[in-house]
Amino acid sequence: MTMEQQNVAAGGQPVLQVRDLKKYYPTGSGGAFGKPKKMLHALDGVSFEVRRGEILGIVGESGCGKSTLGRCVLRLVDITGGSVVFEGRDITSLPRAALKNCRRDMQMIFQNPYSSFDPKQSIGSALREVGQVHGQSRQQTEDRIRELLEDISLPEDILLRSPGELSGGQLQRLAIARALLLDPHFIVADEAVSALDVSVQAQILNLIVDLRQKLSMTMMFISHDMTVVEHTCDTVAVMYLGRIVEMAPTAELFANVLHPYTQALLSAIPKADPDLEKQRIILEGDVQSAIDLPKGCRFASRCRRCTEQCRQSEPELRDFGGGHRAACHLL
Amino acid sequence: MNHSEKLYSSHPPLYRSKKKQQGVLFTLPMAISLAVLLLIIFCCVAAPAISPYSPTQQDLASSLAKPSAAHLLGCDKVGRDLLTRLFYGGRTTLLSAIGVVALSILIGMPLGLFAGYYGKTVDTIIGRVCDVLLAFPSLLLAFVFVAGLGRGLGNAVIALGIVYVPMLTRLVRSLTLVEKNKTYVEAMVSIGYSDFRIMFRHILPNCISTVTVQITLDLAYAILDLAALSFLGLGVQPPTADWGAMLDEGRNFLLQTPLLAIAPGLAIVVVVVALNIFSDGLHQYFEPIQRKLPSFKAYEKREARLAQRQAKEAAGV
Amino acid sequence: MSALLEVKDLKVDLMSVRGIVHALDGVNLTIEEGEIHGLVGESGCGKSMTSRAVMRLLPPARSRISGQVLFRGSDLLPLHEREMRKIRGDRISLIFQDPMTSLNPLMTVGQQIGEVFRLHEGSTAAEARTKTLAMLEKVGIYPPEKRIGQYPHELSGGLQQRVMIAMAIANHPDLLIADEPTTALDVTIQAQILELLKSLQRDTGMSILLITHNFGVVAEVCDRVSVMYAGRIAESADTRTIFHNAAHPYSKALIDSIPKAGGTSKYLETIPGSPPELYNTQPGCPFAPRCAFADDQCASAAPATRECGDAPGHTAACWHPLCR
Repeated sequence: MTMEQQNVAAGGQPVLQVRDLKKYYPTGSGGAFGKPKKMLHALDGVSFEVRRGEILGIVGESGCGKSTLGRCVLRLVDITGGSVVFEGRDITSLPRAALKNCRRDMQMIFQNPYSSFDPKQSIGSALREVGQVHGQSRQQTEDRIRELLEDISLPEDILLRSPGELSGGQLQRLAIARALLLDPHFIVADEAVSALDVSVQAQILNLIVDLRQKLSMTMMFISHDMTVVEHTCDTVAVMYLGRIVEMAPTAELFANVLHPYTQALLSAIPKADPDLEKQRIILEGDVQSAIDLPKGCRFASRCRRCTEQCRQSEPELRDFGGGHRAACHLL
Repeated sequence: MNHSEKLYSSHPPLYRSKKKQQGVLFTLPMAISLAVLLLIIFCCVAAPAISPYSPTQQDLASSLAKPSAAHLLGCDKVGRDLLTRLFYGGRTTLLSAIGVVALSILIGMPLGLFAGYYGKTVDTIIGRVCDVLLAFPSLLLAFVFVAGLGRGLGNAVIALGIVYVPMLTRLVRSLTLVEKNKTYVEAMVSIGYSDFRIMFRHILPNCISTVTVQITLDLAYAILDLAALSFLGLGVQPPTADWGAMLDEGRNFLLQTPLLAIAPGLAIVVVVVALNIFSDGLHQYFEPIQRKLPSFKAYEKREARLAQRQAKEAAGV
Repeated sequence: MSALLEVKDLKVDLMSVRGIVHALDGVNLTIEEGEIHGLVGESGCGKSMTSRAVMRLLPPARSRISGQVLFRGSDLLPLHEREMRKIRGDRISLIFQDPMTSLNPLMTVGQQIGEVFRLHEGSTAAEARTKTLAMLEKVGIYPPEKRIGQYPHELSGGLQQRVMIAMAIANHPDLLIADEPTTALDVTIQAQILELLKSLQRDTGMSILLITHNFGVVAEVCDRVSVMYAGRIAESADTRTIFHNAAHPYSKALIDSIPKAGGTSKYLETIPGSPPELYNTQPGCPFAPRCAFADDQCASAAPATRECGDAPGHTAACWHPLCR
């Protein structure tokens, strides 16, 4: 059995349980003179679980809510509705002070490595500060930093550098090291490789594979790039306008695509193979705004196979066997 | 051996070179203005050592004396040496200007940081207070404060310091807003840094360069405003020497002994202009895009000369 | 077919705060009539710089260009700015990556597209409006009467990019340079825009120079590809050849590092080290420090571009190309 299978088998207790998560943003229009204030439905009822040692991929286009999901799960923003349970603890409405202890255990890696660090602070100082904030002894932090530098294959003198002197790939590795400094149990990677060149992206993905084996990391990998997600993740959830429309183990999803949106998404991705002849599904129109959502399926306006039922009622996620779930009336 | 180790076993990582940026730090205008400022500061600091007389020493016999060997710039109405009073006056003026700016930083910077970082109610309150203060012309506001606090240099400094707070707060607030939206602030929140740590240990250093440029300009304004206050009798009290007060006194003797007014006036002008040019140079240094770069020919000539010199040194050794 | 655009030994030096950057170091590129030519490379390789140099959009005070840019046989580099302006937007057009910042926020869509007609064809306002409506339909903006009066911020990213394309092809240029036209767009919108570009190319027969870092886009859209590295063209060939028989070690390594569906290993191929800084060009091949096949010759002398015999027009700048 592979490491992943071992972990999942051995009482894979969910690290993260998300139930009916909702996040609305007030849009600033309406609200006066008794008109109900318009809300942006960034997340509109998202439910899933992440087991120990699993890498869950969240895919979608802009406006689908994937970044908001990452931030809600880490409680970087307040949650409008639903619940987030992290390692058995309900963190949905914990006040900031109580969250500080949780912060050790869940960390985030961001998209742009250059702006992830204070440009005026040396890397060594930045890393040591992390330990300092959480009350680690200096020696402990030093040892941990040295260990991590070995894991990410960077020399010790990099600690003297400031972010501007380093390349994107080096910085993203250091961002990963910073996230791992306190031995977190869960990491959210928000488009962690999207801003990197292809060859550098490959380095970081390899690093994630290595670290995952060594530390049995549990991860939520947010990306708009399905090829990366297919390569890296165990399970994939496809999001559209604030809801999960399809979710399945990776191999299953790509072998047997169910939801029309996922089909369109997959066919839209330009494949790096000039011989591939494929039926392109070109979607009409643009992604709607998440403010004035019509009743019924959110994808109805762009879906080729949309029926009257689709326009009237919103489909729920249903199980199709093998861990494959999809929300569509036509299945 | 893990896969990533293969990467760097044979190829050392290449860092971006810390290649020296083409200096526009010491351009001619900036060098000259800096030299002038340093000279003036030196004179003022060393005033006791280099002044021929005491600033309050009166010698009625030499009242309104013309420049001579004994009194290089002449004397004022009560026979005090003008040169000496110029030096001591500079001390007072410059020190109080620094006091004004220091006070405005001490109050204005934290206010700006809080307003920008916390936003919402805190921002609104601080913003309104600043708006009220900014609605008044600065000098008028200083009058009001001095009237309330009483005359004297100390009170003038405090009054002016408070008057300068809103502009600094606004500046720091907008810089904070820019920094706050950057990813590293979000990263630090996610790691669990306290707000204070983020604000003062991380956002503040990133604002320093712009604030420094503003501060050098504020010094110039402070000198002018303090001079105005003293001119109107609200700042320095006699017999303390101060450029503004000296300007006021000299005004009465413009026809007979114009030097009495021209000397302190010129001193003020020189310092203010030098500060402005210096501040401009600093701004160019901090904003590389604004720098004036050499032409290709000039750059290549310089590089060739450098290479020649290096080759000679290497050969000589 | 005569070459539409021939770039010969194009060198661009830029003055920056850290010294002279040799942004382009002898670029050789040939684009035929009716060809979609992809220019690929990673960040900093000089692909955008090439497009700016061809269009003469570099700041004259801080840049130095040498070489030849032959458009239909005549060199663009010595042209006076006035003459160059006649070519820009008329014979050669350029579309940019981020449509939001490339369109004038204060002018309506109709005004911006109409301006192109009025400048180059001397149309009156009414004529420009008619032509603009026709253009909007051509690039798939519906309904044209409604959109013509809207401002850029009222349009989505995909629509904005279509407006840019409309402005660019309004005068039926011979060459359209598209600098990362879909990078800022969602995948499904990207697919729409690429389809649009392909259909426009089929209809008008213009050539397209498509600059991108995405090999998938290249595979889907381009006839020929040139791979750039450190300001030079590393390899040039038709699309199939590049993907299946890349000759330059860099091209091959780059293509190998893309995650592919159904890959066997969890590990991807990577290229050690980082691209060189372009301040002091070292002698020899710029890729040598990172190349698995480099030897002393590679480190000391810059390789000449040589033909690989396997496909017409397949060239690589390498002492030990993989096709030998």
